[in-house]
Amino acid sequence: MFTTIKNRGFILAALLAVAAGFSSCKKSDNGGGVDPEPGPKGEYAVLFTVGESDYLLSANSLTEGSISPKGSGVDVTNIFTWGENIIQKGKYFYHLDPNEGKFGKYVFENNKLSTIGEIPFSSFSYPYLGWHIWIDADQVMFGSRGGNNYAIVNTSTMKVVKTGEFDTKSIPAGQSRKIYSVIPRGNKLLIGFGLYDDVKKVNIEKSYLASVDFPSLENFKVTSDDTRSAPIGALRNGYFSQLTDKGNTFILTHPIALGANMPNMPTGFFRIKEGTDVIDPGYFFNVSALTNKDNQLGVCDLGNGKVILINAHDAATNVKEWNDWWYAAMWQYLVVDVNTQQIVKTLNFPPLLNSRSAVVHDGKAYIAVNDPKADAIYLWEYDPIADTLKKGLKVEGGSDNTPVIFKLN
Amino acid sequence: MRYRKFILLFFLFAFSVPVLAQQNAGISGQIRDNDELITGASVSIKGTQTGTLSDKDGGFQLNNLKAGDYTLQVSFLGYISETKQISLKPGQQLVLNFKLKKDAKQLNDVAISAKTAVRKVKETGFAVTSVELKNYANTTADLNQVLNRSAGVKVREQGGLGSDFNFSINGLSGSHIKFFIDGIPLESFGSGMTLNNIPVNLAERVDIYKGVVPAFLGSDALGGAVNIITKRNSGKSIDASYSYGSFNTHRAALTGSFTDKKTGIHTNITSYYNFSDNNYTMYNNPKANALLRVVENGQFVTKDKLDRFHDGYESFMGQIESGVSNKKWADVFVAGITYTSNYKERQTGATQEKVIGQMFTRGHNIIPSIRYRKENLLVTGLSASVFANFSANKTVVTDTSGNVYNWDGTVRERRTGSELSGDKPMINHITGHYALAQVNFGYVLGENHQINLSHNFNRSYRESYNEIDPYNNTYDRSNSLNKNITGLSYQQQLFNQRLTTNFFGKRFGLDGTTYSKDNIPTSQSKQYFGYGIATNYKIVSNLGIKASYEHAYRLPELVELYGNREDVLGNPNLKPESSNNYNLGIYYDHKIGSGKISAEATGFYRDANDYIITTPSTSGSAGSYSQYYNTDGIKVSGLEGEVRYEHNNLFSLLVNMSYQNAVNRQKYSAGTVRENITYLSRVPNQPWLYGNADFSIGKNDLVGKDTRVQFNWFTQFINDYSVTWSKLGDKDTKDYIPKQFIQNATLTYSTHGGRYNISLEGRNLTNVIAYDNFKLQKPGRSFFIKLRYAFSQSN
Repeated sequence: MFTTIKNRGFILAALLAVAAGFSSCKKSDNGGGVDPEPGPKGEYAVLFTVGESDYLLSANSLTEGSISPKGSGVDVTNIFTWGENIIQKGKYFYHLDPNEGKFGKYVFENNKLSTIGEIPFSSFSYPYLGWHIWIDADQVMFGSRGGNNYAIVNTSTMKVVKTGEFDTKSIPAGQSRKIYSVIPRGNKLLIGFGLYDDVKKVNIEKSYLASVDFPSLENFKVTSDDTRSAPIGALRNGYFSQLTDKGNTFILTHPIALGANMPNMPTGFFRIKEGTDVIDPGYFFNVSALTNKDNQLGVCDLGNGKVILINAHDAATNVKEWNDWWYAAMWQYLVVDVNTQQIVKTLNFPPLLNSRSAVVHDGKAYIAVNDPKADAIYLWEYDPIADTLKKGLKVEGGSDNTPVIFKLN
Repeated sequence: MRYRKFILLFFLFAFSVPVLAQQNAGISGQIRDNDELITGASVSIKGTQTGTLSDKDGGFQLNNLKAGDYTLQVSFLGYISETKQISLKPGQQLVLNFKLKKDAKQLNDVAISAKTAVRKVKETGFAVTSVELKNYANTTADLNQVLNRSAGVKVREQGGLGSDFNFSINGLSGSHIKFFIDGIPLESFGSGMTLNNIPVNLAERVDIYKGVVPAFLGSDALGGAVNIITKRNSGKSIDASYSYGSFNTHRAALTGSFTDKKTGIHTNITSYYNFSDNNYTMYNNPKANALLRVVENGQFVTKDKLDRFHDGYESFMGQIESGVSNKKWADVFVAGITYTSNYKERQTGATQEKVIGQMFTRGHNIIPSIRYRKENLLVTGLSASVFANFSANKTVVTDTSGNVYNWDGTVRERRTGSELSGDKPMINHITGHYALAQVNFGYVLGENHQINLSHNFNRSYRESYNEIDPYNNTYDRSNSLNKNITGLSYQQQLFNQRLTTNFFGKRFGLDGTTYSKDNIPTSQSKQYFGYGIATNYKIVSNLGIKASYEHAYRLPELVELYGNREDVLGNPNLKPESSNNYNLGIYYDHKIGSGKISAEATGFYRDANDYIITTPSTSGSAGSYSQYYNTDGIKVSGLEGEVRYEHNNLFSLLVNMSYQNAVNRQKYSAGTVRENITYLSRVPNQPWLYGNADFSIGKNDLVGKDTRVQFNWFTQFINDYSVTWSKLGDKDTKDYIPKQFIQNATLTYSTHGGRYNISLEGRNLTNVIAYDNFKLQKPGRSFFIKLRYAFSQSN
């Protein structure tokens, strides 16, 4: 009779969150004193999802060996109750539990997940995350999916610093604002958003960029808009959608059905030039135009302007029902260059199931490859410099969901 | 609201009381043999036209007798007739009981012995448990709680009175099980009547068909069916009860029937009323990972216990059926009207970690109906029955508070939106129509062959709109779906009725129309065929075996097929679910002195595929939809057994145990050739070992003539079970529903041969923190008192 929230995104959870994909890319960018060699036990974690159950497994290496959830791993089903609400940073996992209304901090070490602290958090009417950013080493900012709100939590003290809604006066009557990207820029935040027509009940097919003072979050100004693609950013928390290269910020749009579902729009990158706060009218990297109108999802930033995307090849033919977005063998890994606006390479795999999970370490990408004909899901190492692909860690045990990889240091 | 229903119930009660006002000289009593009550025995006064037949309880009543001396004769096929000389004084009400002895010669001559309806059901080949409800009539239980004591049945409740529940038979549950009331699908009465609000007094017995469902129940039941047989007394009767107990729980029930002598019009009245605050105590229980936390000064603080505060429930049902019987053109022709209403507050989200403080649902249904039956229609042996009804349902779900609540009832955070989904506030009006027409023909060829043909047509329609969405002021036109189900069965009895076999086939037809946003209709039509066999072979008179099989279907439902135009996408490619269901059972009974032991054991296997499940939904945010789709489903094998010992009319002991192993039959991960890691693993979060023990002791005339004192102790056991896949993950990190023993007791005192009854009932006496679902605690210890008046008289 009632929609149960427990009946949650078990498939979406896999499609999740490569919080890893996002934050580990950042981590790699920051350097951060990382040991280049596979380190001690449990340097990586793999979230294995089967049905409505989730298991967090420890992995020593992504280049060899195998792991299995049989009799091992932490059963996190009732801890990470909503996969897209996981925020990971190093060995720390944060999770906003939409049911109880709590924000928790957990540490994954020696194959054990321990609770560091849980605080009440119920500021969001719609407690499903759409985005998060790290403001500094301790403070994380996040907001609801398809919402106009935000919260800042200090993860060191586990205190809510601030919650609220971005300026509402600038929203036209009968419309609502949906934020897809938040980009820190010194003492400002750039906000990528779209508008939703509450009367016609449709997304307006347009991308907007605004700037707001930080940390006051006042002085909200819409700086530009663009009709070439939308939405500007990802719909769901953890989806890779932005990178900075040579001072310029690039934002991947998500018109794909798994994103904001704007079937008439191409997928591509917008650019915000260094020192500006507008969508660059002279740049749009139209990836769909190079892939016969296919749409893509973001995977990871390889560095040097190169990005891995996953391409839904000929979805019009391959997707007959909603589940096919996950289980139709149609996906291809693409390496694109946002500077040359070219597809550098299509990784040499057969058509894959939706297997969008990766971490980047030492300039190499480790991607989950769900080949329907293989004996298991393997992590493959892609080295963009040597241009090599190597089969690595085997994740034993078939599941309808592709495991999600996390780098723990 | 609450008092209005009471007044209505009182009115119905007052309406039926005149039946009792006729005080004349008369004779009443009960007829039985050594073992059981005899139904249908002839009772007559020699030399007069006065006579009657004993009712289902073996009872009889002869009224309007003048003072004088009479010879009373009681006779029944297979028994030696008895006569008694009596002398009646003016106005005297004489009570006279008879104990008939079996006539060995007659029994040899005709292989018919007195059978109760329950035994008749048992002796078909179907794997059926028939629960006679008169044993529970003095308890405050609803049907769910009674059926939950049966082998192979598990009802998982989310809370107290009126809470949502999941009813499973041999491991299949939810929409795989269909419910009927007198053979009519319960869903045709709207959402107001469910097994968690129908009191035991209203029904005579309940038949639980496991896996294999007879064709006359014209529905698409994949895993079994429950048929509630209501009280339909042809004479005058009344059964009225009221109970009060813990959590401010009030329950009243009434059934009555009478015939107007002038017109011959017979009237049945049925009504019930339930009310409860359900404010039972919630406990902090780290063992079950169910913490009771509130927020104080911005931090979580754990409390030992707190009472629920927004879980009120109220439901009402009133039904009047009136018509004629024993006419040339109809044995029975009645028209009726049923009204139900319910109000339900919601206290928790998917688990008790989400506390809801304002959301509620209110609904009401009105259902006119007609019923017709005729035996020997046109030719001898041909019977026909027709039933039709139309239900108009209106449900309003109100969720307009965005507040976040603590378990102590305080508001943790005030915000806008709705409580449950967090989305926009809603006052959602859901209107549904359900029309049903059912025709049933039976033809008896001699004593041993029966043919039955039934056809069910039903049409469902649904539409909804949100009253407070300013941009949505038009009805969201939804869809309609028609189902046609035809059942044909042939039952034969061979070898001197030792072998009974029922062959059946079912045709399922489905057609419907869906409307696009531009109101452009699209239609489709499909049909499927199911079939089965059920057989019973009596090896000797007290030992037999039963075997049954069905290739069963469940058709997709309206929303599954067409979506709801809100957050569920239609999937017109959806196939019906199907299952191959097998049962093999053995039964035995044996007399030991004045006691009798009976035992039954059944093994079962279900191979269900094309299971319909849903992709997850995230409550209608842009780009988020759920859609129903077919999966490989599950295989369930298991064993259940029940042993009962009855010692005369003094005490009885019943013990049953059920084991089921439901395993995932999805061999390959979706879209791949890889074996699924959970292939053939036990499906998590389902009880797999459970049982019941029920002990009753009672004595007649212990504290006075025509009295009975009865004591019942009932223990329920559920073994622990893992909430997630048991073989995956480190055991120390897993959550389990704990092992539970729940103790209950009832003490009843009856007087005037069962006419007046008072019961005291205690449930969950040891105050176990009980769960049927993870993080959804059920009520603890509770007490109830029930008063009941029951009277029946054959015409």
